[in-house]
Amino acid sequence: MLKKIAFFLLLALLTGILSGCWSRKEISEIAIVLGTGVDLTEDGRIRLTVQIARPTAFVGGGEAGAVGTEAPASWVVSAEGRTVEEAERYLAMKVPRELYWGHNVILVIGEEMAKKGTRMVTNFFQRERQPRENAWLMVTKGEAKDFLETYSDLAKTSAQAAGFLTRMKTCYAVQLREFAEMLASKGVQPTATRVEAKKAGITPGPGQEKVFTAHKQVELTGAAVFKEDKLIGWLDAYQTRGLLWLKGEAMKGAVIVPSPAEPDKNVSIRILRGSTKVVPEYDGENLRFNVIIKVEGNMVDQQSREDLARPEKIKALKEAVAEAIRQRTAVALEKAQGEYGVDIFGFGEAFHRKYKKAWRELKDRWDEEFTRAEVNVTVDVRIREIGLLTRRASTEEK
Amino acid sequence: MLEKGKIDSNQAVMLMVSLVLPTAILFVPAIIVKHARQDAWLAAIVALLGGLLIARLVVSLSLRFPEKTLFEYAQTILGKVPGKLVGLLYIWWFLYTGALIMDEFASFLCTAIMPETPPVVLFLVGIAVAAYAVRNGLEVLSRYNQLLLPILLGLLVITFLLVTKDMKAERLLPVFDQSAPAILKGAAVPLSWLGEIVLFAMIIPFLQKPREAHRVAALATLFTGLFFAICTVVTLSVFGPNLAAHWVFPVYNTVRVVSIANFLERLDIIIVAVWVFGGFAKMGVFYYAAVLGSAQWLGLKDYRPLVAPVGLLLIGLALLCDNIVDLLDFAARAWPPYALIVFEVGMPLFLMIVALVRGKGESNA
Amino acid sequence: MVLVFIIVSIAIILLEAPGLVKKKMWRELAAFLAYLSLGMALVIPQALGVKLPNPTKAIEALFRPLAELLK
Repeated sequence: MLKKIAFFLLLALLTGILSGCWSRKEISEIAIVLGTGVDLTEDGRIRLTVQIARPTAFVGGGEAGAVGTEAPASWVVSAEGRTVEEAERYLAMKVPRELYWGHNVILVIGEEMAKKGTRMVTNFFQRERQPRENAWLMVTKGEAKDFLETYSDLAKTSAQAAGFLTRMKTCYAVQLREFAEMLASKGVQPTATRVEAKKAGITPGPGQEKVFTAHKQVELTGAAVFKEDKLIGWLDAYQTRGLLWLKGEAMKGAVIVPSPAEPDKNVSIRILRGSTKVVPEYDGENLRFNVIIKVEGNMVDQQSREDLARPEKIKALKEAVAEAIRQRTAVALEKAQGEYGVDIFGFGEAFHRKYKKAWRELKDRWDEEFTRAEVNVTVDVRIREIGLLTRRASTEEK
Repeated sequence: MLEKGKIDSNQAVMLMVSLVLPTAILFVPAIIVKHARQDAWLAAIVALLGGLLIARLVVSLSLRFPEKTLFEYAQTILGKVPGKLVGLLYIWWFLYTGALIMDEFASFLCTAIMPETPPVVLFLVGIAVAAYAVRNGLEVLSRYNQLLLPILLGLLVITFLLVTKDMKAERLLPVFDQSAPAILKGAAVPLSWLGEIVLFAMIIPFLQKPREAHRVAALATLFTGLFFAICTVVTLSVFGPNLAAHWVFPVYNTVRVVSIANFLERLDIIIVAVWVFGGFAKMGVFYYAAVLGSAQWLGLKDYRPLVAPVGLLLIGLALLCDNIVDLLDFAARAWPPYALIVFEVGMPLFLMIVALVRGKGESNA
Repeated sequence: MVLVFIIVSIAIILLEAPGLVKKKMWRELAAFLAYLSLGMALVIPQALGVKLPNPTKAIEALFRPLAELLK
């Protein structure tokens, strides 16, 4: 009998504990944040802008649905505060659902905020459990709010569009965790994707030229250069290529070189894959980096009329490609060593790996050492395929 | 004999792995990386060697008294009163460590998935389940563990394979960058975890083949040490030495990084499952040792009446912990000397020496 | 919270004590009650909001010189 009472008591307790999840969140009660932007306001406060998915727009078949009848897929809203969290709490007073950060694709930092310091921003997104360390970090010229307020014609939302562009590594792309890693290392200064909202393309239709004018869409335009956590400058798309080569990041894109016999016409080589090896040399005084870049590509485009499908021409093309890549790296190096004076390539880490002892002395003044360093770039090119054509259509004999 | 069940050697190996591993991969990788940086895996190997020595010592000591647990032979070696004193110390150690383990898991759950749930609820539910297992004896605990441990470790290994895409070997270089003291400091923390194998002294009498105890302890330590080293290497090669030391639960973040084709991702819940189930096993073993030890210390005929009250006691001790910073600081700094010097090396060594001098126990071990 | 712990304790007593009394295991009963009251002594004040000293601090104080090494 007593046992039964005891059992009953425990059961009653268990019903209290096990009846449901304590921290449960119904999907209809959460606001899914797709993109986040952080700006610095003029009075020095932090403005948090979130792009929230509008669930009704995501119902039904994927990308289908006639343009024009589609409901907007996102809602962009901002709030201000002294910290990101304070801004988030004020945001919670405007958003009639609970903010959910787990699907945040991009974290955009406005130019002014980046100049003030990104640590004020990134800390929240690393410490909080919901935002993921895989989110893409980008810096926009101008305000992050304006960037998020754009919409995309192909992707559901501009945040997803920007996320896709970075994920495809069409330009320099960096995740929050990689940025944090660069921030925590003395051997490399951080860089992030540079993005802008620019007018691109139109959506034509009969009689709709007036309705659908070209609107601003997201675009990757290069890289943002930091010293510690502060933005100090930009690299444009061309210079960013050099950054990618020197950092040894996954490379996509093309190298355009003059045709060997007709230098005023161009030949395009699309890059398939590449690798970069940085070999530091240090004798106690002189610092030199030998950068060995290996690249493999296919010919995809030819403007000249000469026959390039010949071994000696391919050899000449290889040299031209090597020279073109050397130029790109030279431009990026010039920017980093000359204008900004920061090691954004991670040469310091390569140095650390080879010269453990010397690194201990140099690490605290690494950027100075880096600006004095000599960099030799060697490029080893391999052109594998030439596409479906051997030469361009022409009536000439040769 | 208080415990009538017997476990075979495989179960014992798995139980001993669960005894150490679940919390060892919770926040120890961050501590070890903080000290030894790129050489953390080296520190893990050093700790593994030390752990093997501790295991050797404990089993050698226990095998001199094959039918007795730590609590019983402490009295045989030292005499009644000093032996009881040693027993009391170990009861305290088992109890308080059990409570700390629970705290660690509650902190993790509250940080990672259930921030609004008060820890005491997690304690209550956790203890209720663990108490049930402990009350049913060693066999039940071992079988629970035998069933789940392979699945859990398998899941972990799979997630580690999935994260290889984000690993870079350069992050592990240069080797031997840190000074020997730094590496040894880094090794101290995992060593104090591996040293928990001392608890095996409570289990040896219930092995079907006690003569295999040396093999069991060595295998378990080797496996745990290597698995821990792998976790450290994976974490390091994903985040690099600078960032890895910043996370509170580095392995958790490592798993969060997994993203294959934008489709196979958000595997965090796997590691939550690993830690919840593993945490039960780990806490269960300490809980069991505390209960069995208390019963032997008090000379009871049955240990089961003590299960529920000890559970309450564990909750009480776990509630004492104020915040995670205290817990982290304790685990990183005070715990290694406290556990190693007193319970894991000091006491067994002392008992061994006295036993040898006084010629107690069988010497053919 | 206090109520929960009291209910738990009562349930534990009802579950364990009668069996022990029936089998006349007085020593076990005494140990059981001693551990239970120890547990209650730890749990109830904390549920009421009383801050008890944390043994972690004592251990830390004891091993301070060595703990400093691991900073």
